Amino acid sequence: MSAFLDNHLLTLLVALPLVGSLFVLFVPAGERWLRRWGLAFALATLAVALHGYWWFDSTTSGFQYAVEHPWFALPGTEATVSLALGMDGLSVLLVALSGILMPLVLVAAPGGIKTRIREFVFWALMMEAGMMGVFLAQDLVLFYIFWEVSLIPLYFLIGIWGGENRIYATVKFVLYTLVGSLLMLVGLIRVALESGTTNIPELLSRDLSVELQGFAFVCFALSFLIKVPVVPFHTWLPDAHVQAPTGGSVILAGVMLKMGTYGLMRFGLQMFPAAAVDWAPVLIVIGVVGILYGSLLAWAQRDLKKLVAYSSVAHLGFVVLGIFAFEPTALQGAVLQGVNHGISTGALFFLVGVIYDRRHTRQLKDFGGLATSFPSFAFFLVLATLASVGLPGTNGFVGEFLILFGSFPGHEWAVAFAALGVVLGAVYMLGMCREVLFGRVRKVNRDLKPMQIREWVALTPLAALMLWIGLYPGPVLDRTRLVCEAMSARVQPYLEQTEEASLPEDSESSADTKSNLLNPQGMER
Amino acid sequence: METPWLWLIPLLPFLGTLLNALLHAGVLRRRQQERDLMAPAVAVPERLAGWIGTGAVALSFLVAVAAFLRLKALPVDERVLTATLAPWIQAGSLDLSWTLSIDPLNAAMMLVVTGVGALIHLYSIGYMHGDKGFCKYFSYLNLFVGMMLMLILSESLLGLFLGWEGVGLCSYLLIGFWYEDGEKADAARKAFIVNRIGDFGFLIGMFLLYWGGGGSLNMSDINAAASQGAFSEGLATLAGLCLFLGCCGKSAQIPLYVWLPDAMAGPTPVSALIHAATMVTSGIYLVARLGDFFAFAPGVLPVIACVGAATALFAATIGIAQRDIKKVLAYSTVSQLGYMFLGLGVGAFTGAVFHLITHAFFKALLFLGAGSVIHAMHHQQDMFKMGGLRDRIPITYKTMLIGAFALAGVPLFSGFFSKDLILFETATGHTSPWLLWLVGAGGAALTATYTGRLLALTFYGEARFDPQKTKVHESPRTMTLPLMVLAVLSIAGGLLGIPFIMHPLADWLDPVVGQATLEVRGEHHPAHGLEIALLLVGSAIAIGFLSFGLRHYRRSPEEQRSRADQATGLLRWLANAWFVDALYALLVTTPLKILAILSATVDVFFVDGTVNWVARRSRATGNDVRRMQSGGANDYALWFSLGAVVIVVGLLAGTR
Amino acid sequence: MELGLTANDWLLAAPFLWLAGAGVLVLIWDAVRPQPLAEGIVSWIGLGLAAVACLPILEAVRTEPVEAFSGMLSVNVPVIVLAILCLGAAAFCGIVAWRSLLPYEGGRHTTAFWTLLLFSTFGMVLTLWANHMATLFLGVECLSLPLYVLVALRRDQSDSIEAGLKYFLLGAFASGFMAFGMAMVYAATGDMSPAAISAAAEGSSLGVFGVALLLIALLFKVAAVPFHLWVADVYQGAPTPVTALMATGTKAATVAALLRWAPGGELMGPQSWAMLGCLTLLIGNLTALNQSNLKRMLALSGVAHVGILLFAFAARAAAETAEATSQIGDTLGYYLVAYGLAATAAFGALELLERRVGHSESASLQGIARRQPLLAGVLCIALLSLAGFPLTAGFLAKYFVFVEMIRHGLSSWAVIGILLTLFGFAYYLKALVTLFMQEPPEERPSLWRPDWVATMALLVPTVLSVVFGVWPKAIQL
Repeated sequence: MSAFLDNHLLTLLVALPLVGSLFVLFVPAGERWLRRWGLAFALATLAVALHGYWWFDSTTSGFQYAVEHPWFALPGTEATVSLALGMDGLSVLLVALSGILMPLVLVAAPGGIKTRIREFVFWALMMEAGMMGVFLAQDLVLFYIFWEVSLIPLYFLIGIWGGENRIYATVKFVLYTLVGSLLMLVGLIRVALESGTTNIPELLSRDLSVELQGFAFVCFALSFLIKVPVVPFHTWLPDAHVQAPTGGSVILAGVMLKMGTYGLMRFGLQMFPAAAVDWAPVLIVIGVVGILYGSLLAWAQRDLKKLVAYSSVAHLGFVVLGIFAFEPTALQGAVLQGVNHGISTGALFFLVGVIYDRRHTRQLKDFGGLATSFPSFAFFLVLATLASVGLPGTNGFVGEFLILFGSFPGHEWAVAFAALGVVLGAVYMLGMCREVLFGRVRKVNRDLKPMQIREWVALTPLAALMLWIGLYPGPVLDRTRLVCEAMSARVQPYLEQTEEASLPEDSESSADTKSNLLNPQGMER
Repeated sequence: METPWLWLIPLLPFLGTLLNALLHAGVLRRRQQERDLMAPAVAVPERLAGWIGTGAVALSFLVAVAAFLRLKALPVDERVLTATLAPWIQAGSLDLSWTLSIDPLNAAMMLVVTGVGALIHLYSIGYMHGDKGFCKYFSYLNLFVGMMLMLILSESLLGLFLGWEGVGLCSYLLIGFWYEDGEKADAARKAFIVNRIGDFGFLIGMFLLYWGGGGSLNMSDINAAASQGAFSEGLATLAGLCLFLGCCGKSAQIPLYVWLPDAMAGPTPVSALIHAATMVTSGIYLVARLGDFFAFAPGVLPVIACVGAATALFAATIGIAQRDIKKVLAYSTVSQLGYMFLGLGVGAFTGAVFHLITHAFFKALLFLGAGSVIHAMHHQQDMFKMGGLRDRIPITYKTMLIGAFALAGVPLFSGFFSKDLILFETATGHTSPWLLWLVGAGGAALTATYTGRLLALTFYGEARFDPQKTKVHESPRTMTLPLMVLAVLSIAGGLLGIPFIMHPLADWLDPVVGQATLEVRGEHHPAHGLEIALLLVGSAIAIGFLSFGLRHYRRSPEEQRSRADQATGLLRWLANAWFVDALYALLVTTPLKILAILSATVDVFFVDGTVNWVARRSRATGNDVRRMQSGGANDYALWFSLGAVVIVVGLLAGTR
Repeated sequence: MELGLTANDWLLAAPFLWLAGAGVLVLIWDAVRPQPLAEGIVSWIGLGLAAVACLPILEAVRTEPVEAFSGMLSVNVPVIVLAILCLGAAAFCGIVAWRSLLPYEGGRHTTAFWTLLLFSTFGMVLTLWANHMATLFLGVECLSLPLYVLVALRRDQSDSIEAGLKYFLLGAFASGFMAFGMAMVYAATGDMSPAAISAAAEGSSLGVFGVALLLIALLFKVAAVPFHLWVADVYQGAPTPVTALMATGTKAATVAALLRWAPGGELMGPQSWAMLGCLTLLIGNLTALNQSNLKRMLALSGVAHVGILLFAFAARAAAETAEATSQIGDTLGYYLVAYGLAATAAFGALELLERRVGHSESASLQGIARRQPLLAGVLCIALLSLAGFPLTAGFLAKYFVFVEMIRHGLSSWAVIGILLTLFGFAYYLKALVTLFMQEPPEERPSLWRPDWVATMALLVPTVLSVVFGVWPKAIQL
């Protein structure tokens, strides 16, 4: 059994939800059973994902559980596009996160999804297959295919079960994302043609020409930056989030946005290191601006869900900063912070759903005093808030700290501004808590239905994860350590080249200017 | 020495947190079933919660005493106990584990925190009786003690930071404990955010220390690195200032002190424990703990001294005009913390810690006493509505009197010795000694004055309330017992350091801060004459101004009240705390909020507007282009011909 | 009797014989004893046998192109696959049209329908295989003339007649261009084989002029900008099954002809082709953007697809080796198959919906997914394939075209082109919104009995769209 699992682990991860989605599409069953079938498939996927997570070998930075089947020839070249899957330290956490979130979404769904259950479960599982595929694909074309395949389900999830303005939101979301991914397609084709292969591990081990890297990086990175999203490409996000049903928001924030950061690392950094070095200053500025600007925007919101949505922009700014600092610690922080954001923002979106199901409003001014009338909600909201503002002892802290800590040498100013974002985070998140939870209870908020079992089931694992990762992140960090070190090492030669190029001729004096405040003796870092 | 059981010290309170949280969940469940959101906790969980909470901290205190004895048994230069539980964050070059380490300095802190903490827990049983969040309260309070112990005992700066923010969280939760009152919830939020500003400095300071040559986040390593000169001066100064910004936040110094007076919105025992005795002294602890580093960062200590002195004086001026008994004590706390920083700034590490300890005793006592008064007065906090309580609540009166003497620095009370040690060291320090001394002495005079005012308005004179309506009676035993214990400590605390006679605290702390003191202050030159003179001056100031305050306000409370009501001139500025809050609102909060709203507008109309414009534009162009599709075959033929001409001409031109 | 035909001649003649035979048989049958069902069956058998007859040819050309009739016909793998596609499209058209056309005017027009269908298909295959200007002209006319009538078949509907008339007028215009152009090329080069085109380029301007006229005629047939204006009206006015045939068969045949007869890089460089492609893509997409009628929108999306096909011509113009050129031929073939399958499925599903609703205005198709999940699903897959979403053949088709462009150094055109397809996504997504996300008007009856035969027929291109998208080897040429 175990050998079978090990050999087919990744295939199962993609195939189980895919088969499940087709199964629920055609199985003759009532709504209750449809939901159960969907949940069964999602749980089976989760079990496989956890098996893979547990037995993940953290002593190697390479790809594990790899499978490969030739698929079709890229016309006119030697290259064969293959169905290749593999998992490394970058993907293992995200795979586990996707595996965890999807059953929770299905469990909590009945709160908001009351019609067209069959389609809902179908699209949800389809999306899971797409997400898994994105994180596991070992072939450029396959990656692109999964990237797009994961888009359509969300299009339908928002468009069918969304709010008032859902059609505007969902079309905007898909078109905006497509702008990027179509460009990625061009970049991808050029990479495939000029290097003669589409195999990702193969490409990662090559040093592509600088010119090609420059072109491809722009194409790829733009796509990822829109998906993340960073300022100024973020405006689809609040619309999509506000209109999406709860489950859609959770998946969007929890996993979809991580595709962007994953891509930035896998391709932006690992595949095109030279271009990444060139673009790093710009991207770091974008990340920091995102943190501050996103925080300010979140602060100004009067709609609970919009506030959480904008907070995502700020959180992901940290991740972008961490990635382009090229420091292993910061990279580990960036990987972890992606997961953290999935957990805490996912929980926040669940909570928004919980209260929306009861009050049918998301305006901050309509709440107040919920801590009295709805204490279980208050507990989870405060916990998620704390994780979101990065209080030590919660997952958010470990991620944010590692990013800031690791990025510090060389980017002192960026980190200083980013750390201001930590202050602003407290401002808007606690402001939100203040308005929602505290103050006098209004009459309309007095008799709220208590937390349902399905809501407990959805929130408790997330709460547990927040604390677990906060207090004992070892098992999570171990799995990313080597791959982040390898990533950092990959960039290093180019980094040195740029530094050499930017130094003045007289190396003697340049060494002096190099010994900045942080490094008085020019010590080895 | 590896001593795993040290972990019991913080873990016991955490266990208490968990149990009390479960009790609270049970209470909530019952409320749900009875459909009564406001029902108080029933007697059984309340009693259970109280004893679990108090017991956990008391047990922790006992373990702490055991650890202290263990430490004491070790040879002087080997006095370190460590305990490693598990790895925490291991990433990149960073390798942190859950490690506690006890040296003489934090051993002293640990005893104060658990000891005073246990007393305040005991007191809370009486004070919080019948509150609907009783179990929750004890859960938070235990959490606080646990976090505070993490702060004190952690080996690494990051562990300290965990406790640092953790106590901030507890402070937030407890200030906003009665969150139904919007103002209290706002005060809680303010405390957290202002502390976050400080934490920002802390984080940056930590990064500078690590990357600037420390190479480790363990405080002993940083101290060692500093002694070996691993930091450049500029960097050390910058890092020191950043860390001190953190201290300003947590320990309520200028410019970040503004949260502490508002924090009085919390239950009074919380003010005693968190906002007087323990949490707010973390900044002092941090500077003392990193003494070797700060001693090496020469630019920082003078700044600390000046900020401390300024705060001591500034807060005292405000304290003198407050009507709310807790506000007086709050500003007094800010002022006393200023003294401690003044001490640190001039290199009197021992003096600062000494004052920290005595202050923990007498300020906790004063707050608890004030709580007892408030309890007795049915939540009346305005001193002008009190008066004549001396005989009605005798135990409270007597114990508070002791506390007030200690605060004012009346000779032989603990505060006298600790404060005068700081002032003496200031006068012999190297940063404009006499100016700072003058500021400190001025502050001391004001302190004595407002202490006298507090006593006079509260306890003496006629009752300025209707005794028929407000039945005043002494608090229950659970509340008076801690008062009495703390009163004893407020007197006996002085034994830790009596000039010329005994200085056990200085000896005890010497392995930790001795090196730093030496570095800052140079060789010790005994100046007995000066010391005696300053002691006398200090005594005179304390006694003189205390009696002035007592007499002045005892004689004419009504007149003072009408003056306070009108609040004109200087008094208006003092009563409103120099309008600093308004200034901050004007300079920081409002502009930021406006910026936020502006950003949101720009986002919608410009950033998103561009996207929507592109979409709208495309659709409009689509409509324009659609006109080509007129439906008339002749139009089509026209376009056909046009295209044909272009192609023919194009191809012909191409061949030329 | 000695006809002097070689084995290859017979091989290639077989499909034509079956088609023509079936057509004649239907005519005779009608004269003897009109029986709509039997005529239909005969036609299907004819189409089927023609398709079967293509299989041995496919085997024969695996290694190298085959010529027949002294070079009048020449085939390679793509054109045979496209011929099969045309035959399939015709068969599909027949099945779908069965219920909507036959009852009309008491079934008196069935004979006309079937014979015209068969002869038009004959023309398509001939156009595909023609290797001589004479056969090309024959094929194109043979293809077009029956179509003019088919478009106007519903005489009770004014727009059907209008469409037929417009198509005829403009088509005649184009035919004139074609004939005149051929004559001039012949005059300039003395050759009527495809080689004459490149020969003309080097010769006098007379030859170039001829090439230009021929090119214009073919661009009209494939509906490139600015010769595309007839498409929207004709596709919309024609009976929808006929539209499906035009979108699939006619397009495949004419594009393949264009590939064979269009001037190469020496006369019209890659930049010009790419410009033409961009223009076609842009205008097609922009015009389609705001259509309120799904059928019209799909018609204009077809124009946009021609734009992408023209990109492949740009790549061909830049290609240097014969191998690369043949590679591009394969790519075009794949694209035409992918587009044909999706268009067939989309128009077919629209036909079935129209039958209920009466027209294809999107306003009355709102929320159809809740009434007719199967048809909506088919339309969904078809639209996604047209848009070029992965896991459908449409994606790989676009992908291959852009691969060719980038391979031949047209990266910046590829970027522009791919961004222009974004407009396409906009309206395909809008169609999905209509079908799936809007609530159906209340008064609509909940479900109706589907036309099972047609629905099953619909599933064939739909499933193939997915199969070829997931497993391109199945058709990799």
